[in-house]
Amino acid sequence: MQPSKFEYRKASTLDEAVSLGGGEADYLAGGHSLIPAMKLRLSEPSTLVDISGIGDLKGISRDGDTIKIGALTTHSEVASSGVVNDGCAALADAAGMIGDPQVRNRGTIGGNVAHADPASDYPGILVALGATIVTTGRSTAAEDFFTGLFETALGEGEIVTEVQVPATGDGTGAAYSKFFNPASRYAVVGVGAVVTKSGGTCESCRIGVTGASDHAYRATAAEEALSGSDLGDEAIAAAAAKVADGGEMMSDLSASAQYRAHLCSVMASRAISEAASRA
Amino acid sequence: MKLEREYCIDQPIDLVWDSILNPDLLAEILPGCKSLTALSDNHYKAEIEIKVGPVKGAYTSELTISDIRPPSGYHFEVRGIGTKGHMSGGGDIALTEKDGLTVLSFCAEGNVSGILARVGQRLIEAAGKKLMDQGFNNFQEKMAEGAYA
Repeated sequence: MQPSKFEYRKASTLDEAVSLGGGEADYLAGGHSLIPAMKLRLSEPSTLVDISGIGDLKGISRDGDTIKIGALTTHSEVASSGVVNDGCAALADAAGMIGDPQVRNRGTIGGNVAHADPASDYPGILVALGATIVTTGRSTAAEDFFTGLFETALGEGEIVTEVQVPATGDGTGAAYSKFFNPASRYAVVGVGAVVTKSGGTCESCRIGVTGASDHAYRATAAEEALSGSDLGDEAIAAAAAKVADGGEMMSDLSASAQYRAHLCSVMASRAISEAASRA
Repeated sequence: MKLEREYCIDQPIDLVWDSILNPDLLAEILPGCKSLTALSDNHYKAEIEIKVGPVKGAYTSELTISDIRPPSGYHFEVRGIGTKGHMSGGGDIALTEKDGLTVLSFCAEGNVSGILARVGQRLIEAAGKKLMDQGFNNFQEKMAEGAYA
């Protein structure tokens, strides 16, 4: 199908993009969520403001212990970036698991978080990593940024400019594990885990979950259960069993709420074990 | 699609009962409701505009209420026709008293057809729950304001 009629404006600077946005206008970055929705006429914006040409929003750099990823950075650029792989391999892993090559080569990290699909991979790992979403107006912690089904803290005309991720330091490991929808490769459930070890025990941890609930959430009950444990199989299984507690499980054609709760526990066990082995 | 929700309302059951049959209040709490008019007793027509993520649709719905059992509940049937699909369904609303609070349980079953059903299947239930929660949050706020006491 063809989209309904819309006006197309290409912004060359961020200021221009902000002034063109708002109201019935939508921002276009990689276009791999918005354009399909427009072709199905699910989405019918009056104006598309193309921000894909804004140079300031591209590129990956490291500033001390912070990895800064421009909003227009594609998933494949994140997956193959030396800076990301050195500083936070789990994020590169997650980026490499998104969709198919077409999506990874066109889809952007800024577009992904702004769209806030409940089954998207980035929100889960970003919440776990304690990432910060930087916009034209402010900086928001990832766990506060995703607020509901396709809902974020973004206001009207506000644009995501950068995603900042803390590099995993000594003694800390991170991992992302997901159960793929076999057709769409969306995360039926995806769990990101960050584990900091001191001696043989878990000093602290963060667990982020996507796909299971209508938005990504932190599994705080599981984090508390794991902290202070010996990270043995039993401790991990006990903590993983609490991962579904943090959110209301979705139910749809591909998985019932009960099955999703089970997947939460399995994916969390894998992510925690992997993160612990990397710490 | 099946939707089951339960909400606890910090108001006496008689007041909640009067409110959930008040079309003026319903018009204010239904998410995206542009207008709600009574066609006859217990038969209403609503114009609703809903936006969930990238999907924005306008719907004309007809709501019929039957089996009215004050103050414990009623049965409803709804049919909606919209730009993005059609929906039909029905269910029951039940009120019970618990420790001075009112527990409202909502149980409905419905079908969605059209483009929404073809491509939005994985999100329909989550969207339904979200809209329900929004509606009841609005309801709680209105009750707390005492606007319909």
